[in-house]
This record gives sequence, structure tokens and C-alpha cells, in this order.
Amino acid sequence: MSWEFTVPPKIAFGEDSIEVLETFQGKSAFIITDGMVNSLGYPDRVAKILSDNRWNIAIWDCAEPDPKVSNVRDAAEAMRAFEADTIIAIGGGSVMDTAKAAWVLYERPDIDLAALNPFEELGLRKKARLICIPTTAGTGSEVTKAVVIRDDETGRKMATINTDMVPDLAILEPSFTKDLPKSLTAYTGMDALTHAVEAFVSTWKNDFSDACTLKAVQMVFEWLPKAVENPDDLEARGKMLVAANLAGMSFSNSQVALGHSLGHSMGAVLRLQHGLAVGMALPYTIEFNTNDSDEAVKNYAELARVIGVTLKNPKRAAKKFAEMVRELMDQVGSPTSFKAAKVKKKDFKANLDKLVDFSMQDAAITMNPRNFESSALRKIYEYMYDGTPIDF
Amino acid sequence: MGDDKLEFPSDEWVEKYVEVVNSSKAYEDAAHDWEGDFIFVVTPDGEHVKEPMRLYIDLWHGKCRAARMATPDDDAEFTYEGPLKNWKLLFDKKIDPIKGLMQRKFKLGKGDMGKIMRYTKAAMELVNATTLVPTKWPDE
Repeated sequence: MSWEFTVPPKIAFGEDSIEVLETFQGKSAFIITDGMVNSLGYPDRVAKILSDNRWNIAIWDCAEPDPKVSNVRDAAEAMRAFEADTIIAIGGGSVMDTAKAAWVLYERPDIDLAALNPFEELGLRKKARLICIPTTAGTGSEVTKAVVIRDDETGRKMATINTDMVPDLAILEPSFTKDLPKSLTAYTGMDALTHAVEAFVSTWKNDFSDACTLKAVQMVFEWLPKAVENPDDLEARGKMLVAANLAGMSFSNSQVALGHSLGHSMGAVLRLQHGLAVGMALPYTIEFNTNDSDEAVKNYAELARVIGVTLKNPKRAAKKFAEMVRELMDQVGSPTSFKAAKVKKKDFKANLDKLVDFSMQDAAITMNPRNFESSALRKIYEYMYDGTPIDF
Repeated sequence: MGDDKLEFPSDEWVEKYVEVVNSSKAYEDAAHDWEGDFIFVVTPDGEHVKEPMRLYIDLWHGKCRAARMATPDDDAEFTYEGPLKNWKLLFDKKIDPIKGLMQRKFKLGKGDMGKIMRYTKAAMELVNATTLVPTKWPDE
């Protein structure tokens, strides 16, 4: 059955890769970032390169974590006032998602973001092109067609994809991630791992995304502990950027699965950081899928082999893979249960219905290799509270 | 066995399909608060299907509360349409309803895509239900 694999036309990576901007054609660059990243001076480094080449620059540093539609509209309005021909997102996933969604509104003010979907040709690039420079190694948004924004009223995360939203240029500059705190390095690294693993078991998987996943998984297990242990290790930072990027290419073209449905809901309802949430969900979903999907068992076992598991029995290898994910999380300090993430039991219980409802409305559940009903999701969440491995 | 098959689309097929959907706990669970009706259209292929074949389904809170072969005057909140060969692929689960749209095998002629995207699991369960209806295709 025909399918397509879409990635940006160019990815610049390695130290000083931002110098690629010297060759980029344009006149007016609208830089989207957040207050924290702006204070670290990265947007100024980019602005210096462009202004030396006679660009007009505007820096908009009002991007918010888990952007709401209203925040995106503000960005689009500022973009319109500046008449940008180039949009440059400098930041983590939320910044890049804000830039993508604002780009859509800038070019297509007629579009309702809640109805943004994979099927409509948006016809972007009539006004501007998009460059993404990540300051975290996790989201992979710099190479994906994915965007996640939140509904202002309900807080529900709306995740969708559209091929037009794949950026025109991704720049993986390791020095832009060296100020990321250890905890966020760990959480975003787990986000990358979850992208890679879920793309590999998704019902939409394909050979191209599989190739990206295999390398990404191997790299995360090797380099994430080093990046967390020594934040100034630019080699580890650079390797994690590449791993996250490969994972991004993978899931952008074959989608994610149950771990993201759970994680999106945890982020929206309990305000847990995205990487922490999807990472926490990952080993439980591996166990859940392994218990009733031969296809999933085969795929997890293959991933286990990539990181050195030699068990011949595929089911045992798949379960070992879940164990090794938990060990990695322990090693880098990423919580493996709600309890460990300091979510109070009463808050968890009060929000359990909403957690389940939002997960059931998340499109990623349809790509999960094992089918289920909402009662199974409730049970998974309950196991996740104390950190009990899934036995059903 | 072939004689037990119900021609798709037909009133007999629809009747059986409604029975299957309404006994599906998985569909009821995934669509417990869905409100909306569909017209499914088998578009002409110049060979086996000469005129559009339309099927009306009204889905409400996890149940199918009405369904029939649609008349040309019937209207619904959503239309989902594609040629016969792609409906066969869908019923065989070779493609899923969302990926089918991305592959341009089907198109949503009418309807709020944002609403559909919140109920992709329900859409999958509707497809799963078709596998329980013994189906005879117009080209058989």
C-alpha cells in the first residue's frame, strides 16, 4: 500500500551548524522563542548572523509551555505585523509547536486550529518558510509534521500532523542545548526514546521509519546517561540531538501509539512535563502490548537486540526491553510512577476519569498494536500510580 | 457459505451491520458521547459501480439509532466516500479509516474534521464491526 516519507530538505548538525544561516535567502526573520531561552542569548546569536547579512529581525519571546490556541494567535498576529518571510523557532517542543501553528494562521487565517488535520493541503510557504533550532533533544519537532496545541477552554491537547508543516531547515547546534537542566535533559531524552519505540510498533510503521528508530534507540541508551551526567559534554549533547531528530523522523512518518495517548492526557490534566509523562507511560505500554500482541512482541524483541539483549524467546526479550527502559529512567532520574513524580493520590483519583477520557480522544491510540477499551486504560493508570508492572 | 453473504450496500447488509454495531461494547465505549450522522458513499468506478451508492447511518451515544440505504435527498453531518476497491480494503483492514484519508483512498466530503479526530478509536470500531457482517461485493 502506498505511503510517503517526509523530512525537511536540509538538516545542519554539529558544532557551529547555525552558520548555515549565512546561506539562507530572505529579508525579514521573525524569531519565536520563550523568555528563558531568550535570556540565554541563543536568539541573539542567530540574530547576529542574520543582521550581518542585512536581515531585519524581530524576536518574539512570549511562547508558553504547552501552547494554547490564544498564545498561537498572538504569535501569528505579531508575525503578520512584522511581515516575516522567514520564521525561526528557537526552543523546545512548545516553542516549535507555537511557531508551526502560528505559521499556519499567518498564511491561512481562515483555518480553525481545532480542525487542523492531516488531510487538507494547507498551501504554506506563500509568505514564509520555517527554520527550527531545538534547544532540547527530545521533541524532534524540527523535522516532524506534528504539532500539539491546547484548547483554551478545556485544556485538552490537540495533536495532529500535516505534511505542509515539516520545517524547511532544521539546525542541530549542540551548544544550544548545554544549558538544559539535568532533569529536562532526562525527560526530553525519554520523549525521544518514546517516539522511536512507539513508531516501531505503530500499525503505521514502515521500513524507512524503522531504520531511523533502530539507530535512535541505540543512541539514546548510549548517550542520554552521558548528557545527563555531564551537561557540558557537547559530543553527548550533539549525539542526543541527532537521536531525537532520527526519532522525530521516525514517528513523524509512522506515528506514535498508546504511550503518547496516556502522556498527552497526563500533561493536559496533571500538568506533567511532556517527556516525563510519555516516558513514564512507555514501559507500562510495552508490557501491556507484549501481553496480547504477537506483532508487538516481535518488534520490541528486535529493539531489545539493538541494545544488547541476547534472549532468544521474543516475549522474554520484549519484557526485558521494558525492564531496561525502567533502568535507564532510574539512571537518568526520570520518574517511573505517578508516586515518584510526586503526584498526590487524591489529585490522581480526582482526575482519573478525565485522564481516561482525554486518552480515549487522542488519535494515537488507533495506531497502537493492541486494541482495548477504556477500562484497560483506567487499569494501566492505576498500575502506573505505584509503579506496578502491567500483568494483564 | 456464499449464499449467506449479504450484498453490500443493501438494506439487508445495513440491517445486519446495525445489529453488530449495537452489540459492540468496544464501539459503545469509544463513542459513548458521539452525536452525528454519516452518509457513506461508494463512488462510481465505471465498471462495477455505475452510480453512487449511498448508505445513511445515524450514530448516537455509542449506538446506531437509524440506518438505511440513502436516497439522493438524504443529508448528514458527515460524508465519507471512496471507490468500491477501497471499501474492500477497508473492510479487510488492509487500510484504516484515518490512514485511508491520508492515502487519498477516501475523502471526507463534508463534516468537521476536528470532531472526527477526537473519535478515531470509534471509527476503528465501526470498521471492526464490518468484519462481522458476511459481505458480498458488487463485483463478486
